[in-house]
Amino acid sequence: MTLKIQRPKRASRQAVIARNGVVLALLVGAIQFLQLPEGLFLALAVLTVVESNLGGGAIAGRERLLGSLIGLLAVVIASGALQAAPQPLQVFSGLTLVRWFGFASGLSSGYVVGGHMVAGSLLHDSAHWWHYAFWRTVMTLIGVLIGVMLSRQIYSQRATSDWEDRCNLWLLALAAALLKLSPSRSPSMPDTPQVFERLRDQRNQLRQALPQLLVEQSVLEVHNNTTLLRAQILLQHGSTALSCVRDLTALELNSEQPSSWLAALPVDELIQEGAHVLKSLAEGHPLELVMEQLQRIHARIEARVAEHLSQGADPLRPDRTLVIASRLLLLCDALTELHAVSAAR
Amino acid sequence: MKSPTSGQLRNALQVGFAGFLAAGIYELVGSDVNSIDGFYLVYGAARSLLPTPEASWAAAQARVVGTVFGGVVVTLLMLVLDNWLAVGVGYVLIQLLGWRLGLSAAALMNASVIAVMLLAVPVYRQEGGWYVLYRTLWHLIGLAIGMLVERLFWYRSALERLQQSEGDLIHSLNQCCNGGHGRSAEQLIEQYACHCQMRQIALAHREQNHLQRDQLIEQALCHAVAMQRVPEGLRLIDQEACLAALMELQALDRS
Repeated sequence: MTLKIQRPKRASRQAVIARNGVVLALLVGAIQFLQLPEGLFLALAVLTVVESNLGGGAIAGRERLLGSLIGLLAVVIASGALQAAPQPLQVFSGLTLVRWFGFASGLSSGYVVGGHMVAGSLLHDSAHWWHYAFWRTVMTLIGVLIGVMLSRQIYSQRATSDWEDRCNLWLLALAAALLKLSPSRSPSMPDTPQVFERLRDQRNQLRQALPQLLVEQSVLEVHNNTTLLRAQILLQHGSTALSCVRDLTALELNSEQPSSWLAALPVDELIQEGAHVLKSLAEGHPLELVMEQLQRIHARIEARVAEHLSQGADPLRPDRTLVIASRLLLLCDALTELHAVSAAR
Repeated sequence: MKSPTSGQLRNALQVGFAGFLAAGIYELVGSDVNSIDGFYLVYGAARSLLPTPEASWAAAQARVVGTVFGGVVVTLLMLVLDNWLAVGVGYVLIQLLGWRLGLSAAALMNASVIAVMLLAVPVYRQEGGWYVLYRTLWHLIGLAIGMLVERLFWYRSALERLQQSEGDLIHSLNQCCNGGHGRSAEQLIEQYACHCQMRQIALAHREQNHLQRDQLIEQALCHAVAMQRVPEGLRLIDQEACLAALMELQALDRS
């Protein structure tokens, strides 16, 4: 399985490197032939965009473009309004303003490019700062547009496909952790907290990549955001399922001698159906009849809990079985929602 | 438009001051400073002072390593090929070799930038290896000025920042348990992920009782998140467990 996943990735990375190399060489050739003013910044902007997938590249391009624009604004203020001031003072005001504008416009790294614009204009091209700053910004704008277009049209690497691949691996790992809880399986070593930490880290990385999906959808002019919505729902309910599996593992659900109360709950059934839902989601298989089974399991657990509470069990002083039942109900709800995502595919 | 926080305003002033010092040194070098690419001194200062000292350090490393690596590869390549085609060949060589050497994505990006700079700008092409040397040295001084300013003004150690992050997280958990306008499960998860990142950074400076604290915070967080998700009748279980963990944490503080 590892080979199947890694081989295409390596091949696709090499193909992207080759694509970018050809694009850069042709661009630099064209820039030199056309003698574009500050054309270097066109090539650098294209490089910034094509280095990542479409969504990530569009975000990087936006940062570079906005950074250049706020840099231009800061240079105009520092060089125009403080013309008579000593150079270090101009640099002080220019760099301070760039960071201020950058934070105000929500940039996360573009202010570095803005700072370079200030340094280049005030020190490297101080005699022609307006020419330098203006054309640098224009070339950056053109470069970002060309970069996004190339990234979209030629051997396009989509953030969405990358995200889905990683999410599928995460769901499969979650299914494996869930199956280990099954009382019907031969006793196996329960997953350690480190396994769940790793699953949580993977979940966090998937969450962090959501803005790339959003930007990519807008670059592709997809008006219905079903991909993003699906990703958010998958993460939300997958995350709930992960918490439940972690808590149930800590509560030693698959201990060798379950109480009679616990033994009467459809735990094994829930685990098998749950693993089935997660695997089907990851592998893209259709699911049938699972929804009714999950609802039936939920109703059975709920009835047992109500019975237990009516017999005087105090939720303020919960016993282990009540906590287990709470997590089983929660797991059942999360799996039902995940099943709905799968059905809506 | 967002209004910048006080921390961001301090950062803006810090980078301005680092630029002021760098521009002062630039002026001191003399009128020929740009013949040895001295303006890169301020580039280095502008590139420093990122949101955390660790991010500044990582970016500085990537800049210097990438510049040297890319510079060496492209300077050698220029011995046999130095036209526009060499940009593409240089880029491919940098990516493939750098990947094999395990360089970070940021270092590879900086190395690719220098391939474009060296081959697309005639003046730098003439300078060749000297351009790489000047660019690296001036950047090093600029980055060092930035890190010095970072250390001198409003510096907060990793442990102090961890304590702040922990305090904020406990406040959010208390809000959840006490029925106030608490954060949603997703917001709590995100806040905890940031806290874990901070904890990883501060790991080397950790106090003895931090391991126990981490476990209690994690316990409280798990219950606070579950509290918002479980059926209503069973919510009390998690609320009580979350409060118990928070109280134990308070007791740990008192001891």
